[in-house]
Amino acid sequence: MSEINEKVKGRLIEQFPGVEVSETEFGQVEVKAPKEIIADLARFVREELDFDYLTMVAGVDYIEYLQLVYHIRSLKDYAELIIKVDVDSENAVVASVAPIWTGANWHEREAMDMFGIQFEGHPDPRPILLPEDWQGGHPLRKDFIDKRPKRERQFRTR
Amino acid sequence: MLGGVLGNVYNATKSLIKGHLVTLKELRTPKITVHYPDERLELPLGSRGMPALKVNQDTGLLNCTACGVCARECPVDAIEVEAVVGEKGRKKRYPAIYNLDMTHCMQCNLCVEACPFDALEMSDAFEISRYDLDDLIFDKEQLAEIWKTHKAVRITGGEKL
Amino acid sequence: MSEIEARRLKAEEVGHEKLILNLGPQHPSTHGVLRVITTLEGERITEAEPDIGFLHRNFEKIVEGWTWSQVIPLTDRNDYLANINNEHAYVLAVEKLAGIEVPERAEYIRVIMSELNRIASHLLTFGTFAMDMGAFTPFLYGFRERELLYDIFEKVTGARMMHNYVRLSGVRNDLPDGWDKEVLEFLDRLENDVIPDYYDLLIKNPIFEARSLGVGVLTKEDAIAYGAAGPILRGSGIDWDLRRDMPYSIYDRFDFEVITREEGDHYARFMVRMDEMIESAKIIRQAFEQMPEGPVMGKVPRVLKPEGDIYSAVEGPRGEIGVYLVGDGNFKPYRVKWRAPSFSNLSILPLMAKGQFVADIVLTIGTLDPIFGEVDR
Ligand code: SF4
Ligand code: SF4
Repeated sequence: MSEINEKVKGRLIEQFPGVEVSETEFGQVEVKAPKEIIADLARFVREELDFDYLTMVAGVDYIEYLQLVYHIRSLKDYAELIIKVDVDSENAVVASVAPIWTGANWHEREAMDMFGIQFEGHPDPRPILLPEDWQGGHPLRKDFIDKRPKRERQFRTR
Repeated sequence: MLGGVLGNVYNATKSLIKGHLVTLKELRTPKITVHYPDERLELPLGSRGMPALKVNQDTGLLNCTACGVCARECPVDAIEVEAVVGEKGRKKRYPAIYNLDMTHCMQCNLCVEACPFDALEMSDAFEISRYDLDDLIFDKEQLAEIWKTHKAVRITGGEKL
Repeated sequence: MSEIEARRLKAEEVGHEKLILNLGPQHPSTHGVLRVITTLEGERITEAEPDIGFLHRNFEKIVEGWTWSQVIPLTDRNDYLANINNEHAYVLAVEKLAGIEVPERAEYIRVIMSELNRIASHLLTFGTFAMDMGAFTPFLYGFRERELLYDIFEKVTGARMMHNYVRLSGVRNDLPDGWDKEVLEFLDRLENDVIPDYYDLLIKNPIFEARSLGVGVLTKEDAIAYGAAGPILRGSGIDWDLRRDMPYSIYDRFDFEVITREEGDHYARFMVRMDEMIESAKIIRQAFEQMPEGPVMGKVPRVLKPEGDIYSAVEGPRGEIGVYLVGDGNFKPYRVKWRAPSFSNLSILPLMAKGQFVADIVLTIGTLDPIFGEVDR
């Protein structure tokens, strides 16, 4: 398993000098990439390295910046790859990977709802979990304030 | 053409008979439906209903010392504890208020596991519907009453039931 | 010229009209609260668009305010038919992140409970799929067996559905005496009586075959591209099971087969589920044989403040349940991302429904088997 990881790391460093490639203690290859190259990087790992199965796209709010975490498996080589991309909080725009992995479509729509990240080139950018007319902000951001009326706490009156 | 139709009819009849045989077999098997509330299932030990306050059998008092650990551990803040305040504002080891809000409680057992004084147990009282939301907030007397009238056990860190 | 003839000619003149048909959210065949907006041309669906989020409660935000161990009861509510698998997924991730050791016996108990839960979930899927097809009796059969299984669960965990049983570093309590016999009895009955009955009752029925064979075909490429998981992936001929291919917990100690079928139609997915129940039974039997004595709870550090991030996954009944955790050295999780298999599976619906009959989209939803606690989170 680690041989494959070595190979993947080697190819990635060769192709994209300047990205941070490491291996986590759980046997996954981790890539930290600038957001400009995400589309190229995704296409490269999909086509050249056979990482064909995207499991999730998760956003994380680190207050100063947002981070997108892609977790991709290679069903052939039994390898796992994590790509991390930092995104500006205010001007959160990233290239979509939905044209490369079709399954990213809904995951990116979810990240759009929850963090307000815009995905360029997304085939269908609409809210998915939140209502279409939701105005309350992006719930998973750390500065989100729930403005909906609270349920009153019950107190014993008799 | 005719063979196809006949074949279909044959197949359909066969599967119909087979299906009905399975259904007929059920005539012999014991009935497992329980007509609640006329009949009741025997609940297994450790079945989780709602938490109840344990009463010390010798003294007849609650074991609870109002330490508030359970209130802190409850994920949904269903518990409200306040200690009796004696002279000079000192807290006594006895609860003045112990309210359990069953409108919030999800019967998860975490409070029972957290209690360090063996004062809280999980009872199998599950028939707690009331006509009024207010009545779903149980005070300490009611919780003690539930402990007395129901099977209650305390299951924590890896013991056997 | 008869009147019908005249109408037909008129319709041809006007051209085909599109009809927009709204299914759900309160529709008996949508397994929860799914709304599908379908565009029809005659009986054929040209476009189907699932609308989800009716059960959305933002699990991921709620748990950011709770401590690491308080999250466990809430994970039950994600996929409410596979509670132990959910708990296992979460607990495994936290344990890996914090470096907590788990005693041997606890691992075995977790595996046994997970596999039992897989059986319970597949039994329900059997029933609901039959009901989607219009056969009501098998639904009752599936439910009966599941109820009996839940009785068995209740003896250990104290609850029928929301078990809250798996703990960090172990499980809450040991198995009661004589419980293993009950389970083995149930498994014997399942293999010898129940599943053959199901075959007689439903699977060998010509109507069942006509409605499921070759309908709703999902190709290998699409299954991978959409990130389909579990029985849907394996029903399309992809030999992938996390339990075997990336063993977590102690799954590398058991000998079992990964069921795959090449066809990728409703029948294949359905049969993968049926056969998986038998494989699960095999695992449970082996686990009972190998299970050592000993404690079921290890030591949890009093202050649990893990740092770093981790993605860890388990194979649930609906596929890969993945958890992405970020800890910032606090007693609360900084971020929990729940990778729900049903979410990915449901995203295939527009593709699969295209060109189908309206009656078949109900079956398609049935084989995708989405659980809305998990899709909407
Ligand atoms: S059982 Fe759970 S929800 Fe209910 S009071 Fe105890 S900790 Fe709170
Ligand atoms: S029930 Fe237990 S944990 Fe709760 S206040 Fe009383 S002694 Fe403390």
